[in-house]
Amino acid sequence: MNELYKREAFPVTIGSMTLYCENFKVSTIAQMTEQPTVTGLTAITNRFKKCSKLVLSGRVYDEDQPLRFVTVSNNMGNNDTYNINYRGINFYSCRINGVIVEDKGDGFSYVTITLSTSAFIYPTREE
Amino acid sequence: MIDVINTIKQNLIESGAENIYTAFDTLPVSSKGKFFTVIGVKNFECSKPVFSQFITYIPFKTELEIKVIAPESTSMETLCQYYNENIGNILDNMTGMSIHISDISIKQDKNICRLLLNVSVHAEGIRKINRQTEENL
Repeated sequence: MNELYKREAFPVTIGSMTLYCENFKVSTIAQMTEQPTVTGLTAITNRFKKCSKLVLSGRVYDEDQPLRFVTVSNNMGNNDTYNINYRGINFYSCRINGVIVEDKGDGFSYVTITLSTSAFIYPTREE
Repeated sequence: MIDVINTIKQNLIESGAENIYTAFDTLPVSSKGKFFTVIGVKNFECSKPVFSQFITYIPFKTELEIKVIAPESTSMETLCQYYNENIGNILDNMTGMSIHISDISIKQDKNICRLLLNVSVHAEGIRKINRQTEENL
């Protein structure tokens, strides 16, 4: 018989706030510079890894302060960095790029936080 | 689902309405009083829960059916007045759930030969459940 498991939202702590993420996306791309050669082919002259972008989304229910997550955006103008762990993967030195807090009138705040990091991504070591 | 019906029933009783019953009880009609109200459920829907550290919030939507049954030989105007004074006002001012009336109709109930006012009520709310975490255990 196949096993069943329940998928819950995973908590991610950013500073003093904890967001229970229902959606999580991380994307990383490489930037390349190409130059043509005399034979009509191309040569890659430079290549580097761009920042990894993290997008965290979740719903928040707070009767007293329904839009409290919008205060996370106060840290966008300084050099604060955050270490994030999501499902066993560590993202170090993340900087906040964007915060969206949306109230659609159904009682919840829909929160989306975008971060970026240039650090290497490490899985959590199993002890 | 039963919590929602009981909450509405309790609100009506605490606000002074009499003879409030749920659709699940088995009392005979003759013992329910002259005017009586029955609360039932047409449909009930829960959506994906929202989690926080100690509480799980479960949003729900439900379509309730509230029936007000009048004594024999009661006019439609009397039944409407009874509903407005004893049920309608209380539903309009109810807190804890977002309630609005989607349909009202009056007809003769052929089974009991009494006039019946049928109200469809759309209610939305959020149910809170305490989470048992390892720290709480």
